[in-house]
Amino acid sequence: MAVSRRGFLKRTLIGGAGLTLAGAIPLALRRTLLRPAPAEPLRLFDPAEYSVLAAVADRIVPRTAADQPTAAEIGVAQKADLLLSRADPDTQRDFKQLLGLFDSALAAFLLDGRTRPFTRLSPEDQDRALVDWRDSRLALRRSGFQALERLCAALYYADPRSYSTVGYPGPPLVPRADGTVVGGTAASRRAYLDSLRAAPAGSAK
Amino acid sequence: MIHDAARELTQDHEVDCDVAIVGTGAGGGIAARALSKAGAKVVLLEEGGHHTSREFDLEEATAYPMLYQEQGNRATADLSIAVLQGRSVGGGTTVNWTTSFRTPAHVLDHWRRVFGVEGLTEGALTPHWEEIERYLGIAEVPPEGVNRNNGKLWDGLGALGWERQRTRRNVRGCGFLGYCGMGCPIDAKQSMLITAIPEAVAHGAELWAHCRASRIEAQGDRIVAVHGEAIDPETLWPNGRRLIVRPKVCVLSGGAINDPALLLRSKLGNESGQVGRRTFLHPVVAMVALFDDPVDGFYGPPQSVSSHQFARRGEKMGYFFEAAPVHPMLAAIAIDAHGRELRDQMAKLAHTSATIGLLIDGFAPGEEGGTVTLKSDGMPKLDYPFHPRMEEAARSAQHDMARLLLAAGAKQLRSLHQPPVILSSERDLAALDAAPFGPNRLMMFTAHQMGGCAMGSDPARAVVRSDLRHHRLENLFVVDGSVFPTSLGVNPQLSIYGISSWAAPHVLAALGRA
Repeated sequence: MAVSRRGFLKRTLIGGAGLTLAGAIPLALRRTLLRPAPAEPLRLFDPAEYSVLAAVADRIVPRTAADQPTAAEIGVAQKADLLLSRADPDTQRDFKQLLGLFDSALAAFLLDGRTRPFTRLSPEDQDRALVDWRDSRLALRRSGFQALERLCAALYYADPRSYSTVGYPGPPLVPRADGTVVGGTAASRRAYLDSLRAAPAGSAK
Repeated sequence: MIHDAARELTQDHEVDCDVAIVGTGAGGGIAARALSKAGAKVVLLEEGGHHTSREFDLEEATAYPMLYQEQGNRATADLSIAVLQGRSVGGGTTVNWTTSFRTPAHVLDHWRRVFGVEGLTEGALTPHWEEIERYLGIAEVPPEGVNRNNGKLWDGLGALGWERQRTRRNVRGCGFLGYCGMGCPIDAKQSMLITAIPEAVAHGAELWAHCRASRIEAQGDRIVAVHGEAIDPETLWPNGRRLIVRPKVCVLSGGAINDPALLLRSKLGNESGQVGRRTFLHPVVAMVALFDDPVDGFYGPPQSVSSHQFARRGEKMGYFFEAAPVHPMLAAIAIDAHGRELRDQMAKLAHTSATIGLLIDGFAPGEEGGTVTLKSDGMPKLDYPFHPRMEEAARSAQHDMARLLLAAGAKQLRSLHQPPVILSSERDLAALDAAPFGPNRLMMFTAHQMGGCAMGSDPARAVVRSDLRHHRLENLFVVDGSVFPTSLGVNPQLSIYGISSWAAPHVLAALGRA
């Protein structure tokens, strides 16, 4: 294929050619602040990429009240690792490159005058960095921001542990024609099935 | 017989048949049914899995990775438009929101006048639509099936005196649950998964799930093989096993985006240079509204109200209005915010209503829509450039949605701009005109992918003829929404059923010649 995404990266970043260079530097040299390894082994990300995404997720979906699960408790970065491990090769390469660029001190310096990688910024500075990406005049940075924002928000709010934070009661309890039941909660499903067993056979009209 | 290629293919396997069909959605399902019933030996390839209602647990975390292209993460190349597109047995029909419109007569007329499409008239299609409507139980939703989310749209349209209608839906015994987009858990939705596919299989069709068509092979002017690769459901990558189907006739029904990609990978059939060109999306702009009373937009049929008040705007791009379900994951993506703002907005989910404006693309001269090419890994890449006509229509649609939601009693509105425009009265409407427009400045979606293998009489401008047969490859047909020369201005499923039913005799005729 003639026009690869790498070509897209280069074309979009004319005037900021150093960015492509920054994205190509191995993450190990970027002094990413590493997080403890997750419970399950990582499939796609290396520890630095995992740590960058976990740091981003903490700011996309920060805890703003005590009863909210954190992005780390939901396991957003680990879920993202599983999801991206099933993506096509180009998508995997692009996403890994994006995480590298996002935490690159060199890129941050060239673009925004910051000298530290994202993972080592204060939460307030991390929020400013996110907005710099969101509102950038470079289409590549806006689309990179959207990729990170959508992924973290989607993975967090698709998890049933987040439902109570948004006032979503969850799926309704749905009895199926074959006597099974779906939706509701584990407790409501069990109660429903128990009630079926308690009813004498043939009593249903 | 339904096979799972990932599990059952322990070595490469070859199969001869009359008709190979790539894809099991609206186009492939109806074609498989018609051809099997006529006695043809049909083999279907489906890259997704064979997932049934027993696996549909009403959770977005389950449904999107299992039932959508790229696990629900498909998008245009610059990520500016999120692409919701089905990927399992039943294709889009397993996950669509059931809205059923016939192809508008003026659209068919436009195709005839501008693209030289022959024979595809309202009169020719009507018997096919009538048969499909009976078959799939397509009927107008009863008033009690209009949930409060759609009710807000209904009220706003009524208050402004704008055209409104309750939609027709392909359901039988609908429980008004609201989870159509995650697979119907009670098999009320009359998707291809539970209707045409099982019927075709009962008539001897053989379906291979988890089997992606990697390329088609031709000798001279004839397709001689479809090469399939088994997809491991755990990794979603090919596991190395191959299925080679040797058909007398080949039908592509993988949908817009995937059909053109298959032809491009195969380096076949692009004499016109039009493969992948003119891809249309009904690009969606949305408006999110907060109401004092609970909306509970996660429950009840996701779509039951539609307005075509602004579908035909003369020289300008038209648009139509519908509702979108308000489930947490979809809402979090749409709200397109982060940090405290995302938290605060999500906390009001039960009071949130979502109205969508679908832009009717492809009708103006020179308006080319998107283009499908291949990425370096062979997967499709979709570019969809924004242009001034689209901007005008997007702004106008947002304006109108804001007005109708305010008329319905909304207390606060939020556009999907980055950052959003917040409105609380008609006085704020001007702020929408000042908001930025462009890729990644405004969240957009598509659930309707069309074009990329356009039909028409001119081999220089169309990929397939009006009977859906390829202009050069004499035993190759494309039977799905990718043959539409423009978008439709209505939700596409019934148009695809209709054209597939209409095309089936042409496929049979080609089989007779083979």
